[in-house]
Amino acid sequence: MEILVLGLNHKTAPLELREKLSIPSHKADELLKTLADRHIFTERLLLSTCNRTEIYGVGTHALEEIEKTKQFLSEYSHLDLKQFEDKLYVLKQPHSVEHLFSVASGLDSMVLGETEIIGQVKDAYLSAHKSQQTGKVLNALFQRSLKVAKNVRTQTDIGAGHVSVASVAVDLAEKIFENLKEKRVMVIGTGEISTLVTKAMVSRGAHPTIVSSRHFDRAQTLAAELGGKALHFDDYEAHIKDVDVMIAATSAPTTLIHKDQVDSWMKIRHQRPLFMIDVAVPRNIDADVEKLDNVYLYNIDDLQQITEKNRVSRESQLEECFRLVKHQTQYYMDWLFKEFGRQEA
Amino acid sequence: MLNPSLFLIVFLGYFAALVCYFINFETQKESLLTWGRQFVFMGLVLHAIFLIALYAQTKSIATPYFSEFLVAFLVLTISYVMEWKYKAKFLLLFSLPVALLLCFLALLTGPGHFSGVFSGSGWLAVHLTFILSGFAGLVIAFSSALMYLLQSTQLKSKHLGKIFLKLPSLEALDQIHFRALSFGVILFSLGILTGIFWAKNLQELREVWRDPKVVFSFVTCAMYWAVLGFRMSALRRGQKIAIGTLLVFAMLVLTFFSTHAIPSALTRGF
Repeated sequence: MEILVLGLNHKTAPLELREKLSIPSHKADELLKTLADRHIFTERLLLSTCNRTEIYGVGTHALEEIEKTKQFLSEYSHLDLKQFEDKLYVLKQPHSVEHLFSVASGLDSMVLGETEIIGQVKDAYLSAHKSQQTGKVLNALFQRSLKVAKNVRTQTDIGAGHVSVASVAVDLAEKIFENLKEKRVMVIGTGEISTLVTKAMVSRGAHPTIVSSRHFDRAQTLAAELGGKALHFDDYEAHIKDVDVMIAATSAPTTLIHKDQVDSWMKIRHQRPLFMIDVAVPRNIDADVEKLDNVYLYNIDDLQQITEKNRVSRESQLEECFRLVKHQTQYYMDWLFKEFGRQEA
Repeated sequence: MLNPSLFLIVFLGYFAALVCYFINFETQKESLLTWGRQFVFMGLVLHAIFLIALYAQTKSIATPYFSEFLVAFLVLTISYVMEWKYKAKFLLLFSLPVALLLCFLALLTGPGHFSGVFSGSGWLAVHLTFILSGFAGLVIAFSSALMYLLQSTQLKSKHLGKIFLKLPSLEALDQIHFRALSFGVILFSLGILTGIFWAKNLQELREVWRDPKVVFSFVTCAMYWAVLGFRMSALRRGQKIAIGTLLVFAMLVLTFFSTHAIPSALTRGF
């Protein structure tokens, strides 16, 4: 009996291939039953996310079952096996166990240390368990993987600090304001980064106002999409009193917002903190604005430096994370040998 | 003999009204404004009764303390009417401290029996409870102000370290700071007032002013009110108010330790 994993991920296969081999959750049950009908593995589970497609199985004839699984994937994707065989990885225990623990802990993710994968592993397990495709081995393995993910997260700083500009902006906003519920976000311009940051803030309960002069129709569309309102550039200063976060993202060649201007806003605002994010290049907000009390100004370089620092910080935790994963792999393998006997397992 | 308890009720009523107005100014809770107005109204009714009784007893309005009580009454009555008629929402917020100061001066310059109600030994316990509770509030205000400065410095510097992750948000710290400061200052002020009232007679009251601890306490308290006033009026907020709290707290610590640094003959109270 052997625990195997066969699959591909963002490190081994390009997006075009991953798209073709991706398995939507509503199809997972049906495909697991097909695997069962073909007697591929005694226990089996499908884990498919935007970055990976993996089949976990427990089998007694490893080589034969691996070949059958490859054929199955070829049929499912309507691709010749030769087109993707070299992109597949096949891991046997204990490496398959270690791999799952790493995946669940976010150590194998595109964004190192991300947490979304824990939910995806859990959903995949519950789905397979519900359709009675898992048994004692995979039940114990996947339940253990969720505990390992939790341990890695709590015992290291792998999850400390976000690594995307939008998430970092939200983190900063939540360190200035307790939370973003009912907070007003004003976005000047309709650029890509500013939209991402605004969406991240709206997802935390903020109310957006989109300001634009040249692309007012675009501002209206975005405002409607985000549940906010659109304003013409000439009118935005009249609404500054209620704004908590201002995002500047226009393509204007000169500075739009000056220190004296913000100073006068702060008086109207009774010195309530103002978080200003300037993602425009060239910058829209005068850098001297950050000298004002209770004004916190971050430009795109500042945000990217923080994301880079957080990424480096997460990478520095990898050694400790893998040490924990190895220790837990050993723990699981000991349990497996004890439960099934060293010869059989 | 005029019952000094009536004066105490009037004084505490105005003080309660001031607290309600103060907190309402920050939180915008309309219920507090209603409570504040009711306290003022009740205070004015009792104040009028007190003035009539005082006049009936002394048959004169030419005494300094009667004038002070009367001016306090008129200031508040006019403010109350104007606030009601012209919807001038926070007029009483500025009139109440003036009226309280006038009442306090009247107490100091009036006959000894005005402060007779404070002569019981229980008032020392009340005085100490207010002072120590106020001090506790001001210690919390100091801690939260320090945390606020650390967090805002991290945010301004853009070099976010572990402090940034561990400390709460600026908004949360500002709320803790403001509430602790408000309660601390109010309780500390009540402590000082009950301490002064507790001095049984004018002779003792004069002696009290020779104690540097008492003088420092008054100065510190006034500085705390100034910091709180700036915060309330939104002339200053954030880092500057936090720095103000830290500086005045240093003065408060000096005040407490001054007891050990001065000749024992000068000290009063504890």
